[in-house]
Amino acid sequence: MLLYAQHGYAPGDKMLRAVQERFINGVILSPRYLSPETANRIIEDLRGIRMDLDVLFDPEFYATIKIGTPNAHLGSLEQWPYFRLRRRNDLLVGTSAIDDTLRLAYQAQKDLDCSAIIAPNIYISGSFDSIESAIAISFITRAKSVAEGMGIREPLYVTLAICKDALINRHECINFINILTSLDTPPDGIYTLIGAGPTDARSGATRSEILIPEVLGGWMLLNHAMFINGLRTMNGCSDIFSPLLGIAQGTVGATGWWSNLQVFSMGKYIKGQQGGQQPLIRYLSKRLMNRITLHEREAFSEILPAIMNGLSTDSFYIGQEPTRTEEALQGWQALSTLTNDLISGDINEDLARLEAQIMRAKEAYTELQSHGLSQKYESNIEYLAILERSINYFREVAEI
Amino acid sequence: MEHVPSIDLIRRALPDIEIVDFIDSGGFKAVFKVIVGERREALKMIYIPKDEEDPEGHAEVPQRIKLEIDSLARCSSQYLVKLGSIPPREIEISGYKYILYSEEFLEGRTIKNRIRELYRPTFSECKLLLTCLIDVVCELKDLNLIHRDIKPTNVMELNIPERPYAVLDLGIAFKIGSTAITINPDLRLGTLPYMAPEIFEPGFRETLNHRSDLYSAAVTVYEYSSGVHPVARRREDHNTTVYRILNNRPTPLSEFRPDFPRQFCTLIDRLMHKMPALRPNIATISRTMEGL
Repeated sequence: MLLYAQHGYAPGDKMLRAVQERFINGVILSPRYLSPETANRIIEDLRGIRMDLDVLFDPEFYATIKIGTPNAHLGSLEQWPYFRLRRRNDLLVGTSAIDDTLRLAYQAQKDLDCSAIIAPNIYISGSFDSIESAIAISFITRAKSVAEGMGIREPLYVTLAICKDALINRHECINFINILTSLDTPPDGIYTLIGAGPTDARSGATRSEILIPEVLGGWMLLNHAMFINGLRTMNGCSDIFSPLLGIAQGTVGATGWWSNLQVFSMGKYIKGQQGGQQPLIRYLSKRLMNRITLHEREAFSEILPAIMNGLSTDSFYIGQEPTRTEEALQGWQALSTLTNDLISGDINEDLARLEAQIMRAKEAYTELQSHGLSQKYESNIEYLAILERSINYFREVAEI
Repeated sequence: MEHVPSIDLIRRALPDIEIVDFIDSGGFKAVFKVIVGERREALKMIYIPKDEEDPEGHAEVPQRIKLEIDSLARCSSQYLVKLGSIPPREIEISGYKYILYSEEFLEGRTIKNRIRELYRPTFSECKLLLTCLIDVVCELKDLNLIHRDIKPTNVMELNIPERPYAVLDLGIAFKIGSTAITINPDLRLGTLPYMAPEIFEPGFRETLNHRSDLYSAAVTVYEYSSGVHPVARRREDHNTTVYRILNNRPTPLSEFRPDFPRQFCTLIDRLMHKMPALRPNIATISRTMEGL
């Protein structure tokens, strides 16, 4: 599985260094933080380090629904020509509005010389059995034909941005996947975003919203079904869940440096409360399959040195507080090696490896608790138990 | 079939055709061996129920025959039975109405017969069978058709090297996107043990596609390979069979045929997945088969 950087606010040199260190295989740029001019510059900088880097651009068309709302937080999005609010009826009836949107979004990406094209789409906010879902299918159905009409030869991914709730209804989810895999002109892959509730860049609590077996297992099923049907899946904001999706035969996982780049939420397009503290610096422990604070890292490692990854980026944490860039690099390196450790390509073997990894994480937390380090013990064990239940759910629905 | 006319009655009604023998009958159809010119052909006689005894059948049967004949005429796969020289026509024998037409006469045995004989096919035979069935499914798919009745009884083993198997009977084929022929929307046509799970979904006609035929093809190959039906059991009621189709996972084929390549067994197992999206697509099937 490939790991991409999910671009967001205040990138600094985070992505450049990650590319230089080969911790990531590509980047998914966000036009919310890029004007058409700055986008070109950042791509030049990235390609200057590595010519063959995968550079993609998420049109974020799904955020057009926030245009005109008083507290919209759309950044540079409205500078892009495709980012125009389309009336739902225009998207539902006929295909001209959809084709027009697709063409404009493709042109923007062609102008940037992206490695692959991401077709825009709307956000499915509640259910797969809805008008939004019908419109989303229309975008997906038209995506390839419009790309061919423009002579686009790059691989084409189509956006599938869905609220976590849609995945909870098993029957509707399966029906939707059945439709998605039987299109006459399928794209080369899909770009998935699974939406949690409101979040902002500083919140650390959003992940728990998608910690539901039906959501994670359904996301895995989506990846698996696409693979069986010869389609690639690029998972946006998949962060620590990337290994699960890779085991389910997804192609790409992506994560960034703020929590709103680690879990997707439409809430990020709405202005949150101003001010407040910066989020705590964290360390991604492969053994614990979790991010821990510096304080926890110090205390845990005295009892259980195995919670340290033993990777080059560990040095950022020795005797000093790492910078935000170093924290991001540590996360990408840990996630990339964790994914590689777990994925061999044999799905049965990989699921067993993942279960063993989760078991080791549980044992580690239990050992730490036995030494009096019981803070958040229950929630951490519950998090791991949900991962296990997600795997079981996936096994069941994927008939493995 | 009800009201199968005797050979003598048919001879009298069809003096231009030499009726040789009765072959088989089932549902609305009876098949006779005939000679046209110097060629042997299979004459198919389909009973059209009287309006008052079966209004749905009366309306549906002629439409189904038309679809079957039109479909066969458009198919070029050598693994699908061909039309014969007798064009469709309506006749009346002893007050009963029939439509008749002919197909080529195929010399051989059905796969069902081979299973009954407890024949244990080689891997090459099973691979060849799957190849032929997939070819037919692909051809029908291109014509927006679903066979809906692929099963061992409808597959003939021929003694022709370049044409080892042939699929019969497009009698209940489903045309995607056309007006429904079946008047009763709750009716699910097909042979229960070979019907794909999605056919039992409400509103299945809206989403039905060639993946149902892939499922039936895999069930047929599985049964031929192992001698055991993957889901259905003898003498059990329909509801139990439906439950099994929807819920039971078949024993992996490799357990019956450890002598077969694992990839082949896995392919057959996967084609029998309950969820259509989890069945390998045509490109994946072709790739897997090429590697065997």
